[in-house]
Amino acid sequence: MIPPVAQSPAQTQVAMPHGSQCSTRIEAQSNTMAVRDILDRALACLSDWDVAADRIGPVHIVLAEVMNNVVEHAYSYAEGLPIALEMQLQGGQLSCTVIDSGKAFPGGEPPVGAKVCLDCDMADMPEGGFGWFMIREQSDSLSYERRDGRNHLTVNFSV
Amino acid sequence: MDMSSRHEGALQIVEVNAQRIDAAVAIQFKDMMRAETDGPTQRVILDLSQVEFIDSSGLGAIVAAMKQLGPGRQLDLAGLTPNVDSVFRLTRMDTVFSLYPTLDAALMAKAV
Repeated sequence: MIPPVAQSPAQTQVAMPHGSQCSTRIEAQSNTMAVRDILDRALACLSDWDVAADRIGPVHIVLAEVMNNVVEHAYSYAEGLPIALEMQLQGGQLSCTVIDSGKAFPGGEPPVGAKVCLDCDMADMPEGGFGWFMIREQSDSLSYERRDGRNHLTVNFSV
Repeated sequence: MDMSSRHEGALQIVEVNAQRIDAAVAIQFKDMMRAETDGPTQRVILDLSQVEFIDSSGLGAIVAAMKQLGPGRQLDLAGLTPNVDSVFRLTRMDTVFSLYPTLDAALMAKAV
């Protein structure tokens, strides 16, 4: 039998949340259910890493919007193409990078995500344009890089 | 995606029996809502108490569902779970829809 690690002071130190680093890479192929699949696995992972439920909510919506954009815009709904999500948690800072090999952002920059104007008649009420606003509003910071024919979009959160 | 509908007096209640209204089902949701709310009922309450997640596509589909009711009819939302409530407030859609924490609260409120 292996003795319980908690009896060792060194192991106890390693087990402390602020001293630990967690990372994972989740991959799927683009199709209508791929985003749900990656999100389910990512949320389970965050739960395993003891991220509080009320901090997972913003991460959930931001990653959903980023990956829906990949399926819709970068891949124009083409199926069977790679989407990867890399997540790293260290010292309460969560960094998530979505990688795809689709089209780059027009102009080489992610959209600014302006607030949608709702001051209009019901018939003219916008049915879209909320995604980038939510991505920017619910994350702490964001960076984008086009490298080796791939999009790397990183969003950061304090959790 | 599954939804069910019933009438209570002059009201129609449509219950979404799904955990998510997201990009994968947004068009289906909009089409099903069009079919369910084809009648003349002036006030429709959408019961979202089983929905744990909505994204911008789902939000757009709910806006579309309200618009397709046409003038003189309204869509109220009930039973918003925390993540769903947060998306409506963040996008200021809480200023467009009447939101009620529970179906009972929506039933007790008079139509605007």
